[in-house]
Amino acid sequence: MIMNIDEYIKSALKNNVREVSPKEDSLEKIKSRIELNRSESYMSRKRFAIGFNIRRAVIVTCCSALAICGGLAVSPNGRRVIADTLTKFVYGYSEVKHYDKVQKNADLTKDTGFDVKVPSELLGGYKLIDTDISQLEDGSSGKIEKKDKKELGAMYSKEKADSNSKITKWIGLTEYNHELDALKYKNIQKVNIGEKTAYFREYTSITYRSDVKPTEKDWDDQKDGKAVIVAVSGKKGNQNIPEKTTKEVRELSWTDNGVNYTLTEEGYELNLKELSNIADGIMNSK
Amino acid sequence: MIDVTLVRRCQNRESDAFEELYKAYSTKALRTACLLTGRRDIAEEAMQEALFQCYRDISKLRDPERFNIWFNRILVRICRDASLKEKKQKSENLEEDDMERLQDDYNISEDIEKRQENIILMNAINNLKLPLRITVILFYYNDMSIKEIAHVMGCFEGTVKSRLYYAKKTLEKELKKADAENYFENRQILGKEG
Repeated sequence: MIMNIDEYIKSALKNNVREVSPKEDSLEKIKSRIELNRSESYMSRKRFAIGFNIRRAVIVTCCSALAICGGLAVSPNGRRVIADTLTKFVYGYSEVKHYDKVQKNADLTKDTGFDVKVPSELLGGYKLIDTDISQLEDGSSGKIEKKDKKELGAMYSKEKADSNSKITKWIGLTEYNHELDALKYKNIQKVNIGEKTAYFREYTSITYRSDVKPTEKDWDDQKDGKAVIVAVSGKKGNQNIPEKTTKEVRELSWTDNGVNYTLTEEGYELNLKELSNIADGIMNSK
Repeated sequence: MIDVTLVRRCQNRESDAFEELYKAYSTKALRTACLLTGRRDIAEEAMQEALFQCYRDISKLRDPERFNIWFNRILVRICRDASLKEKKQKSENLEEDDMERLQDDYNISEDIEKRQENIILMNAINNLKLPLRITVILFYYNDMSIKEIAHVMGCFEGTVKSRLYYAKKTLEKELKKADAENYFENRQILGKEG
């Protein structure tokens, strides 16, 4: 055995697998997996995004407003309006820019007009997935007018693996230059994070199919801050959209350098301490 | 050689780009997985999973020139997890029978002596501890540099160097031991004949 060991190892490794080739159906299997993941991810993301974005719009207008998702319509004066279809934009935030890659804070600040802090990752390993900027538009007069109020929405996600599958957990972060909505509600809890005061709220997000009328109690709960009513377009007989679904939501809001922030999570999986730690990380990010 | 343009096309989700990437990388990935896990069936699954994750996350890759490191990191992680899972169920080392079956499957037509040396060396490689084995395969089979392996494995370059050193020493020792055994076996046979 007088042979260069390096060459010997190289040759043994190469020879050992030189006849190995992928199976004929490998590519098809990967493609199927991609398709499956695409639809799962899309549904999960869409479901969160709908609630997240509509809540953002509802918050701005008033407590008893009803949002219709898809093209967004929020009644301007809190009138109880239910539309069957989404044809008319009335009053609310409309996306003006969307980014699916991490942007520099300086560029986002330029686009929003106020100082933003959008970390690429939040405490706990939540990664920034996409960011959008929305602007308040008033179309109630028939002509759409853009207002100065803007919102930046950032969606973060983390994959959690359980014994059988992977589940995506979403967190929403909204940064805005209009009034801090949390102060309107009765069910807020003040918390101190460093030297800043934040406001914690738990509420139920109630999603109605748009042909179903919310109950009086739901309206009262929304007024008190215990609920947010969201309507999704759909008609009777559409089996894909249930009449009513509910989600438990936790929110933490604060003001930093003149900009208001709201951190949103669904499912009560993160407690106040965990949300406060994430908020602290955002406050101290550069 | 990394096709940066192809990686960028995949990042932009251009149609057919992923198929081209699959054609360019699947065989090498499968063979690497085969060496890392020692099992053809597990390797096939690992390769598919790695390419799926590659498609899913490629937009997050900031520097396409680092594709090779990034992709191998995914592949190694998947193979390592699979090996550890397998180890729980049974010994992760290939039995001699398995190795011979593997050799037969691949129709390696070499002279018996070389084939035996290969088996000895492959057994020795498979007996290395997982981090050493990964280092050896990435260095000798994937032609990756010490620096690149450090990035793939998330460790210091010095660690990679020492792992390579100990792996080589171990493999040399195993080969010498096998040589000596052959020598004495031959002597005994000759003695009896004489």
